[in-house]
Amino acid sequence: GCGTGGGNNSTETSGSEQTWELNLGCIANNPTTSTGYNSIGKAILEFTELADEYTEGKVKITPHWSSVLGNNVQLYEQIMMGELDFHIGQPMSSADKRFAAWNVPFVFESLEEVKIGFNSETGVLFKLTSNWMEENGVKLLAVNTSVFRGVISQDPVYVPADMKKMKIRTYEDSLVNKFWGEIGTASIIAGSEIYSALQTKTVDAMEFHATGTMSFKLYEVAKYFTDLNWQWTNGATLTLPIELWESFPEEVQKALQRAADEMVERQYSYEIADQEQVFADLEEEGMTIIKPTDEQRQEWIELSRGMDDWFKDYVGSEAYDEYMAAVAENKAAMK
Amino acid sequence: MQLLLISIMVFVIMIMGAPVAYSFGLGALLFLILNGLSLGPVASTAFYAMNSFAFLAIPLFVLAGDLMTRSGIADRLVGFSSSLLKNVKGAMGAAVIFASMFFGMLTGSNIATITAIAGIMKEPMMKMGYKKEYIAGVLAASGPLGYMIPPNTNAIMFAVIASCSVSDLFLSTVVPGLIWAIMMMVVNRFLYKKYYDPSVATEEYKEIAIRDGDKIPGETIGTYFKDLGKTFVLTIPALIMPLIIFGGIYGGIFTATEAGAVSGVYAIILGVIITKNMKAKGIWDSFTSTGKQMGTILFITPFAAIFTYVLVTNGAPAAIANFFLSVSNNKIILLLLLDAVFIVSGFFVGPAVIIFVITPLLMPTAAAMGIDTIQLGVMLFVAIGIGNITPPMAFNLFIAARVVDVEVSKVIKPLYYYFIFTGVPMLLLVTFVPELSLWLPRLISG
Amino acid sequence: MKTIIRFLKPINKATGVLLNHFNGFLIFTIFAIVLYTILCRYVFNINTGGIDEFTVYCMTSSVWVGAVLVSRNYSEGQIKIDLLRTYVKNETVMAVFDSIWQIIGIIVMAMYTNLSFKYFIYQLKRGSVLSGVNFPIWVFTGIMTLCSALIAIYELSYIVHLINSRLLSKRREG
Ligand code: NA
Ligand code: NA
Repeated sequence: GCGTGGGNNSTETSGSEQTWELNLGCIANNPTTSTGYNSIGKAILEFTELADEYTEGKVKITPHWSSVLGNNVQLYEQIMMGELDFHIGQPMSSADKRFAAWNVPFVFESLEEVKIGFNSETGVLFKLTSNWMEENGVKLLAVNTSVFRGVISQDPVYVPADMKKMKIRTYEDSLVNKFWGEIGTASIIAGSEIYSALQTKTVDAMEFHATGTMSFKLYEVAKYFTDLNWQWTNGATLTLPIELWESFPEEVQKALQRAADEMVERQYSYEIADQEQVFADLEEEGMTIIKPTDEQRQEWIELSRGMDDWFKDYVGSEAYDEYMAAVAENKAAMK
Repeated sequence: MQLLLISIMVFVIMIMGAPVAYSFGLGALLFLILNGLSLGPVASTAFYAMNSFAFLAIPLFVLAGDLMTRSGIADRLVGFSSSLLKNVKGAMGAAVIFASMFFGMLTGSNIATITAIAGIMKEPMMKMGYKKEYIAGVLAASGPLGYMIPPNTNAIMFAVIASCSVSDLFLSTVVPGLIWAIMMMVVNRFLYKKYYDPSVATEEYKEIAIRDGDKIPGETIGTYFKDLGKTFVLTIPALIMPLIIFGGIYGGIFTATEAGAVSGVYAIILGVIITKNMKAKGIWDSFTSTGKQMGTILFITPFAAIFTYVLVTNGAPAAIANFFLSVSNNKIILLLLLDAVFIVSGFFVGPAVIIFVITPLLMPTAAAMGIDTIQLGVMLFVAIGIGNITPPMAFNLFIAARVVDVEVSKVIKPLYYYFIFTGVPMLLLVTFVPELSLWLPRLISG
Repeated sequence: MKTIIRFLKPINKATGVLLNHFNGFLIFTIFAIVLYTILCRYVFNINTGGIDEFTVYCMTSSVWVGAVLVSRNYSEGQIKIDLLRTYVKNETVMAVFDSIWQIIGIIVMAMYTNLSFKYFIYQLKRGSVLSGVNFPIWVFTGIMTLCSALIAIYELSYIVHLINSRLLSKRREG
């Protein structure tokens, strides 16, 4: 059977008039209430609307926001098991070690590069990811460009040495811990305690995106944001069980793919607009924005490249090489 | 419709005595099977439901409480506060409420508050002659003070979905929180007698218990302070504990959850060195007994999560909200209906679903009625406090009953008074008097 | 029947002792890791290497192990509301209701054990790991499966115990 919706919730009337009522799980917040800096939430909602429109009402997708159906680990696992219809979020490396490749620091230079690489028709990175996921029984429909991550801190951060004495909040991911552990003291703090931990200075810094700093109100408890783009988060990938995908007639598949592709375009344009606004907003809220110079950024990159052997070992050398080759091919194609 | 019937069935078999966990489990499995839905998500939903740092405070504070009791620190703390409040009627009930507020300054969680305060207060209160059901009732009722007094983890979640300031939300609940605490103390003042019998106090507590609330013949200010001084000296090592926790959290050494482990270490040190009540065996017993308590306190969580999964994937929260909001256009009636949605949904779903699923459904209506987002947040936080004591989904009630080791059904009665005379009036108050919530944030952040 | 019981009793007892200490060990692990985290961060300025993630999984396991210990002991039992008992004083009626809840418990736990086992096998095959420390998750789903099976068994044995004691008391009366 195809999970909570899938074959189960589908109601067959006659022949080609089959309709589907499906569930989508994500950790994003409902954009009708969380309006600001929520490019992913907006894109997800619009994907469900477009899917409805392009399938002429045959596919109704109900989005379930704010992790009410589980976190990313759980949601992607449900997709692999065929128990959830759609997931838009981050497929975690606990499910497939190769996915850790996306977390390697300082790989992409711009969101545009990401967008081209993960274009569902032509992107080399999309094809690679799609092959990996197929082995998990998962159909990859689209990869949103999502966001880059920077650094929030109580004292200014320009170069890695500035963080030597800092306690840096991270989450449960070996690769992320490894990177920040080389720079300062990495400490895992639960999401619900971040705000208080910054306020009481239990941690001095954390890695996060600028838009999240706005929506989680972290500017209230921290002074600096360094626009470092240290890591791209593969945070809004649209997947579904292959079994469910193959149960759709061809015209439904086409319609869903079209909706997914359009979602990517929209998320990208929302995110670009957000990026143009976010730093001004953070400054207005009293934060100081630090834009590292090319030389300063180079220090970070060199430090990161010095850990490449570790990353490669962690991701698995075959997957790491495949991924980096695809990244290089994509960079070459851009020029 | 079927889902409604199944929810009612869960409620009925639960109040007839079926274990809470199995009632939720049965309801969820029945619905999935009757509708031919996949049972595949059941085990992983249950497994990941507990898999949250939010619950970590429970084992740590249950352990700390157990260690504090075994070490004798709890006795000394309570002895001191009872000397201090010796002429106050129902002093120990009031002390629970006061201590919950105090602990609220350290944690943002009501569960941590209940487990931490229960750990210190339950044994001495029982020895003084307070009935277990009342101790559990006061603990469950005053649990929300743990987040009404900032910090507040619910506020952190709400701030994200409602795009408002966390620190404004922190400030907004201070006045309502204090009023709520005073209401609770008033209810306690009238209610405690029904559940207090000093004649059954143990030998060591006889003296304290008998005089609780009554003037002792021949007592002067001199003897009062002499007695107070005596208990104070005994309590000094115990009083250092809150200082360590306070200093540790506000000094940025550890988080509120981690504070549970630090209190445990301090209790062991005191028990071994100062009170000399503790042996290795006793310490190990604390660990095993905490483990066993986890098997009842949190065993509900996986099954409640499966039931919640069924409710959420089948549109129940939306149905509840839409049903109520379609009734009227009159502002006062709408406000009352908003409260009704909060209270009714609070019966069946836990805080996360109320915050992330129900509240977003209510926000457009609330906005159209001109309710400030901050005020809506405060209404939500009060509603969560109420929802946590109303079964079937009533974690404060279940946890308090379990840590005090008393039947849930017995706790319902004293808790009912707190529900009617503090919970509901508090919700109405914050609904109809926005200034209670908005005054302090405006004063401070302008 | 009697020989079976004679044979099972020491096994039951050993299981109880073992699980009790194992659970104490799980709680101790949580306690120790949290303290270690604080020391690493605040005193030594070193990384914990992601070991923090263990705490939550140990907690999950302690809940399941604790639930076995609770269902092992007939007099304790899981959290229930039990309003009925305050109104109905008839022992036989209550015994009937108790048996019904017990049967519900057996059904729920037996079904859950089955589902949990499938999930365990799935994770075993996939080799999912805790991303912080690279520890296999199936160890914890395995504990969950084993515990839910034990709970089902103890609930079943409780019903046998209930019926036996009813029959015994009937026989004594008669
Ligand atoms: Na608080
Ligand atoms: Na409730």
